[in-house]
Amino acid sequence: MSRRTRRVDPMLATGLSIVGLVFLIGLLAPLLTSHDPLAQNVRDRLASPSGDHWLGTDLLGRDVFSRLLHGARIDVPLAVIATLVPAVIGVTLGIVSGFFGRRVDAVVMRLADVVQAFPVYIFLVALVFLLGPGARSFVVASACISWVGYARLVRAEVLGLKSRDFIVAAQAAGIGRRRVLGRHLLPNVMPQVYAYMASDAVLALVALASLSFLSLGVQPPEPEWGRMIADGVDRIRSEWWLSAVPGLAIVIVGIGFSLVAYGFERQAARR
Amino acid sequence: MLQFVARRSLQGLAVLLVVLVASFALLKFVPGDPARQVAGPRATEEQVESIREDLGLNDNVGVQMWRYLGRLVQGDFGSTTNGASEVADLIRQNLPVTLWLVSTSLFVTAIVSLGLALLAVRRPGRLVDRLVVVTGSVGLAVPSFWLGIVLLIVVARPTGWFPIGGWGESFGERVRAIVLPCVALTASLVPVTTRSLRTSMLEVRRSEYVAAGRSVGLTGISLFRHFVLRNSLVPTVALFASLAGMVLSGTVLVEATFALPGLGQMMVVGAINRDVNVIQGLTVVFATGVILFNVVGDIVVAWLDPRIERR
Repeated sequence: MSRRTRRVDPMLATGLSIVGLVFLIGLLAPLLTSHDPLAQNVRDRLASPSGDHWLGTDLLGRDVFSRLLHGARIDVPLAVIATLVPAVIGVTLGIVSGFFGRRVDAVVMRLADVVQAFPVYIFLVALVFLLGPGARSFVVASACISWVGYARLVRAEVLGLKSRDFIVAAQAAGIGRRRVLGRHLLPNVMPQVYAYMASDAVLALVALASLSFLSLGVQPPEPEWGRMIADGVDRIRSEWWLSAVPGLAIVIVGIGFSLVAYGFERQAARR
Repeated sequence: MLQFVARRSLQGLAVLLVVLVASFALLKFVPGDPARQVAGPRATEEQVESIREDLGLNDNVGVQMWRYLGRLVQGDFGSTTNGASEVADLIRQNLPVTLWLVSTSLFVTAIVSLGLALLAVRRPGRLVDRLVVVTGSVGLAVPSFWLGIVLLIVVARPTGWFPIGGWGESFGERVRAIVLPCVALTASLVPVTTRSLRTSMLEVRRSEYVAAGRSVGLTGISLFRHFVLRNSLVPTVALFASLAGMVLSGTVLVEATFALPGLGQMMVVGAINRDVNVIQGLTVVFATGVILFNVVGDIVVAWLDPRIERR
């Protein structure tokens, strides 16, 4: 099939639209709601959903709908950053490991073994403990942990490609290492990396919400979704939506990322 | 076989040693002066200095690490920062809850995902198969702690069958207390396990010996039982061995949601209270658990399929 007629995978398109839409909602949040997500109103606390407060108010009398929309400004970009940083590190290490091999390879892979000896959340909590809670610590901790998956994936791909005819031919033709890497190896590895990134974004999104839920991530009063779920936990007997709705937002964005991953996987498989 | 067991155990020990050293480094990197923390805010400079001497913080780092490793081997993780109790005692108290949760969840996950994967693989591309694939990708996006809360809202609250949180005194209470956490944890694992079991079973299905079985006239159930199922055993066991980390991760969140007094809960409280010894001790315990699980898993896999030993 020629490049021109190749269409974007429908799964990929749907996923990108979902994530893009939520991101846009977050961007436009101040325009979409007249309530300040941080403004407390003690006299109006735990109000039921109404025309004024679409999702009612929380324990401190803050408008829940406004907090939900503003949450998209925190959770979505942070999930993306916490995916990009380890991806760059992991892909670089994976290429170096697979292409140049030997000593670097041994060091990188043993390091990966040690990281993987820790359960992810145990490691996350320990690192956040070390760095102090907050969004920055979350990104740093993700970088320390998630690079392993990319490094292993890229290393395996590079090792597989290295002996393939077109790479051997390129090297025999006297093309420099850097050019072989950039022009021949990378373009064949990246589709798998994109798919992995999208599924990693799901995990990052859930990890951020989980840490914030445990009061180790984004700190109050920021309207972060996991934090909002934690804030509502004591009220599930009556105002159950306080915890239920922010979780739904996470699930929707997560499904969006999953669809993107699925679409990328299918595109990579079709090549 | 014996050689493989020995080699794999040694590898496990090596990783464990690195983990222990890493956990020591954790202590060293924590901001703040541990001696001052113990002494309290009103202590004089001399008091802090004498505590520092008592804690051995003035010794050289190598000596300190050696002492730390020596303590760990004896099962001594130090006391909590407030000095109220020994970390090792706390771990012993909290361990049963986590073991209960982990073992029941693993058991249920194994049965459910094996059943689903078998259903999916019998007719690839049909309804059940597609459902498995779709829930597999949706499932990852559902935070387990949130699912726990939803279960509390839609099951525990209206029926009153299960406590809203906490552990019980009697066996009956404990069983009831663990049902919903187990469901939440299982639900977060099943998508991953089912998906990967499905993939490995499809591979088996397409393999040469299944074609051979077909060519001698075996069909349906008997082909499935003798060729597909038996050969899927190895990837299944391997999968569950690699699951340890995920399950332990899950307990941190699920225990927090259901207020279960287990190790995960202890870890979170320790992190919030900035208690170095608790975090250090639990990191070591959890990592040891994962390594042990992986080593045993690898040995079982090699025992089931002797070809693996030679790799």
